[in-house]
Amino acid sequence: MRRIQSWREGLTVAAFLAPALALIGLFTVAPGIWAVVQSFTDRALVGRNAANVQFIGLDNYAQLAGDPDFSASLVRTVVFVLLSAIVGQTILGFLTAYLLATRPRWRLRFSPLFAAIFLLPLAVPEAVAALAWASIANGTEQGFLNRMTGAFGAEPVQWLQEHAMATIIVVNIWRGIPFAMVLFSAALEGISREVLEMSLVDGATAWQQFRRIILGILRPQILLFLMLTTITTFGIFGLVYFLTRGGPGDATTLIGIYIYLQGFKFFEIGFGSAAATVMLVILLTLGVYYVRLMREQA
Amino acid sequence: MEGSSIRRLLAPAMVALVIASCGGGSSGSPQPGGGAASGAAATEGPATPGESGGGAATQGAPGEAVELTILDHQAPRLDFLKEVLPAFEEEMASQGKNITVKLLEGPATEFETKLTLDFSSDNAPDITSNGLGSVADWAPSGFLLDLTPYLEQWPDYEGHFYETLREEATQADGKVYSVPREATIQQLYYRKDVLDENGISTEQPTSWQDLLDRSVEATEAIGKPGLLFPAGSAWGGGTFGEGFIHLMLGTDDQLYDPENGKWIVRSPGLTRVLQYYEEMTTAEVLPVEALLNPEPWVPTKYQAFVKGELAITTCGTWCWIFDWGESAEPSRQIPDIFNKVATWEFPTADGPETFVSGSTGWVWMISATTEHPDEAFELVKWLASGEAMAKNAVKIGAASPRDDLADVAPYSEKPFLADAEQSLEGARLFQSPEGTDKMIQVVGAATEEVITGRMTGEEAADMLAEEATQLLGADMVKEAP
Repeated sequence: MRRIQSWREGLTVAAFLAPALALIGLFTVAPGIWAVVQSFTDRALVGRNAANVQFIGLDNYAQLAGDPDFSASLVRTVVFVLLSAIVGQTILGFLTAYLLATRPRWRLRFSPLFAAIFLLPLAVPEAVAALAWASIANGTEQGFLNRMTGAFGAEPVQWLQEHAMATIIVVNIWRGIPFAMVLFSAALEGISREVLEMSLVDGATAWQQFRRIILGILRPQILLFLMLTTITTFGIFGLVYFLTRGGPGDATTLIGIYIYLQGFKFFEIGFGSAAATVMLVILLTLGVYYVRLMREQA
Repeated sequence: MEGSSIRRLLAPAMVALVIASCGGGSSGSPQPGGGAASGAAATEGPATPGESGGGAATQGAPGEAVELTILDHQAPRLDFLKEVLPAFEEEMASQGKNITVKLLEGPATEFETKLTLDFSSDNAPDITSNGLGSVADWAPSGFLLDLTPYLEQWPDYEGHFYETLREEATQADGKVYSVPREATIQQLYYRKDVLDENGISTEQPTSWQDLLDRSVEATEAIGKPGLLFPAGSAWGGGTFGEGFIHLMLGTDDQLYDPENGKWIVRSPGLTRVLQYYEEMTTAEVLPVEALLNPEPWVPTKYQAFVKGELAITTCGTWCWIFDWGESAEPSRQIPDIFNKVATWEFPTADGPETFVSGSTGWVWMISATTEHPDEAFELVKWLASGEAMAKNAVKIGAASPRDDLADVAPYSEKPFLADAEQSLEGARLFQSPEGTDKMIQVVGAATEEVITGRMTGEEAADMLAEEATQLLGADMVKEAP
């Protein structure tokens, strides 16, 4: 990386950056700041407060701290992120990429075909994916999953009722594997073939090669994926909302759904903004942590 | 040279970006108010119809083209509007008025959310329709046009609309912001054929215990939960309006004190209602699993009741047509419905008195920011009269909110609707005041705690009092002495 040499060069750089910065500023930073400001008010979309917004200091945060539904949704979200994104997507995405990658003494036949199949979930829009899974996990005998389990004599199961959390975890893993696979495949392609061949010549077993060389080299990419998937999964809304609407009861009310309900079902914009601000702080902390880890690796 | 090329390349892109940013807000839904009228217009209202409403609205000169926008949702309601709106335009044309109406189709779900966002961003259609309950929250927010002066000059309103419904429509500030579109009579609907087959009495239950005993019998006979009172958060407003309130009206206590405008968040009656949910749960007559479904009405009313696997449910006049009749999807229709389904009135807690719940269903509302208040009211008036209202009532399965439709076709061809209308005068009703949306949320949560066995009725009553106080504010609640 070199420094900018002249004001002309600086202007050119600024011109290239300006559209992106303007869009991010308008549609990400400004609404974010607005939400933080609103979190200190009693703004509501309906009722008396709608016309007479008051600054109420930290009242919304105090109310959040005492709201068992909020803390429960946070715990649920952490479990969901841990199992579906950090464990599920990362491990399965990595394994898929590893199996599909060509390396010394390993070449999977028809790997382009498998790659295309594994990529399909990424091509399906979120709402369509949710509807497809609603059909797959349908609790009647006609549901796809129940037909499969029924072939072995099992009784129909209300997947989205009796095992709602487990079901959305599986769906999110399914949805996230393709992106993980693409990212890890690109990273695996970047590993020098000579390095892998030399390790085999030196007598490393496949496991030792995987653990000591491949995992070691790919650590920055793994951290990058972990950061991206943690952030996107923490704030997940559409896929889960379309499938369960946070139910049954509040069994799948993750933090994103909790915020939506406060803001757009109960129209408590101030309170919902406070919850969103808490989520923003958590995600920023996680982001900073991952970035520091990546820098250490670099 | 290189720099100037880049500048030449970037210039149009930057201009396009700026234009896009500035113009973005004006696309999308129509903006009848043009952002000129503020929410205050609702409280000021038009001094007299025909003058400028709230100082912000303007009206078209005679013959000037006016396009009104009307937003509605749900297929039968949209079908109805598609059918009748051309007739309104023709009638206006015959009077020398050039009024056209643009029908906007709202989403089947989250309609209220969309509408609230439209209102709060001054982006609402001229006319819309929703349950009367939403008026209590939208009127104080300044979203709705005060229709009082218009209604004072419309003889039909006082002359033909039922007094109970007119009282219900009058808000806490003494003004009226809506015109009834339909009336609903809610009762208990039961599968007469199923109870008869199993030798279970179809006599009117006269107390909650009587109803519970009957439901236990039905549950044992069918092998599946036999009674449906909507409960839990997933049913949204239905838990309150189609379940909880019918029990509350069967106690000696009130949920809201109109004298001082406070919700009564703790009372013996309220505790008893939640205890009754506990009794229904313990007796295993409630379909708890289905009630926790994201769309709980589907496995219960649309599937189990249709198959005869659910014997008794709360419902309203709309069920005859909209849920299980001619407007329903074929899979939801109950053939020969009038021989298979019958109704009971709601029992009171200790009996023997029974009652039906009667109230305004959906209403017509006009946005406070409309540029054409007179024309908008003209359309509302037309929709709430004669053949248009008769067609709407039949399409939805509603009783008429006015007393002069009995001979108007096609309403006159549906005697069961006219019969339901007859019971409006003696019906019990709960007038939804401001804060109803929050009480709906609290009741949903409290009933869910009970039906999932996480709380007893008494514990849920404590929770309800605490959460309602927190959500509504201490100044809007009180406890019964």
